[in-house]
Amino acid sequence: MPSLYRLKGRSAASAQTLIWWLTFVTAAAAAPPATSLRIEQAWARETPPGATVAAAYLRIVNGGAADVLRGASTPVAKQVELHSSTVENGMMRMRPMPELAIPARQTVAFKPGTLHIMLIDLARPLKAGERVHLTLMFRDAGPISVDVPVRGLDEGEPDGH
Amino acid sequence: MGTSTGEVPQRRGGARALRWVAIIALVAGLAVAVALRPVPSGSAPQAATTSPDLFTGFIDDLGRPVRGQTAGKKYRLIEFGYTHCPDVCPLTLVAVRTALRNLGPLADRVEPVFVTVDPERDSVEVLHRHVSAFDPRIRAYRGDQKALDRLCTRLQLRYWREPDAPGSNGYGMSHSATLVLLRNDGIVPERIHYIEDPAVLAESIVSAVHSAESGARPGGDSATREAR
Repeated sequence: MPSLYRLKGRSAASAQTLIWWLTFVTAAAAAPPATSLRIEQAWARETPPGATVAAAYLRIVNGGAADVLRGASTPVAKQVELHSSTVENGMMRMRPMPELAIPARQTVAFKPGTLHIMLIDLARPLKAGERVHLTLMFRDAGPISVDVPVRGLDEGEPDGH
Repeated sequence: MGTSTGEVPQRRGGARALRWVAIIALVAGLAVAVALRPVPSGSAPQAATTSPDLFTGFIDDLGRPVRGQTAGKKYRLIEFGYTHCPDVCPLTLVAVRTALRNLGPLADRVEPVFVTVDPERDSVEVLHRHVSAFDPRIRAYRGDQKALDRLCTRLQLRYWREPDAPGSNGYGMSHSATLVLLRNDGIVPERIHYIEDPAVLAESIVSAVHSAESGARPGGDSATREAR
């Protein structure tokens, strides 16, 4: 406090400049890093009662250099994994992927029946109409957060797929 | 060979040959009859797959032992899946629900069954809550590995547990991407291949039930075989 009085006493104008400057620096640090990745059409499927897992889908539009999706996290599940579902020789195969390449200037789509973001050990069921927070971790772009609307079992994919 | 004493033996030989011809003809006739008999093949209805023990070892989601025949229904629509699958299995159940709605009165003849390939994690209670969320008419069956393996053999379905991936929590199950329409007499009139779009899959289920009911064999699109 004495120092602030001293500061104020010395020059109110320079203190104000300092505050403006600090505000600017803080805002810049808090802002997301410049990235060429855009997350679109995120949604998750409502879960049946008692379900411990859920799936989220989205599109990652990469307008820049190649990156790698390394994982994700959400407050509503203990763990999040990237999974693929593929039909091979008549078998529906489910496999986790440790990471997913996001090639330069391409769009990678998580879609039902192909790729999904699997939420494991849900803290509670996901209800249609709510939104859940999801943070994607990229190798270069770092964390990118999205609010994911939950859609009903019958609703399926959002329009415009 | 060409001696005079050969005449009698030759005549005797002729009679023997006639007898052989008759036997060969009979055998050949039988073989043709067997060959022409309808055999289980890709597009023909498959031979009886039920004996009374087809579902021995299975309990339904209400805790009742599963019987060979469904009460009051003509078909079972068998779907393999597990509740820890958040993607394809719910999509398929949505398609089954849509199909039930679109079948109209025919829906009364079909009992959709979600057979878990993951009895380790899918308890009867978990299964009941799961399938009920989609449609109360959908049943779930849970059997041990022996029961499942027997069903797989009969219905030409497969499943396996994927190896645990490093850092992964839990495990994935892979299973046939096929729904089986099983008639109460054990005939499988239709097999429906999984399609990503639940609306299209529902249509495929509806047309399979219609084909089975009319006895008509479709071109084979909806009645695809398990890939080898």
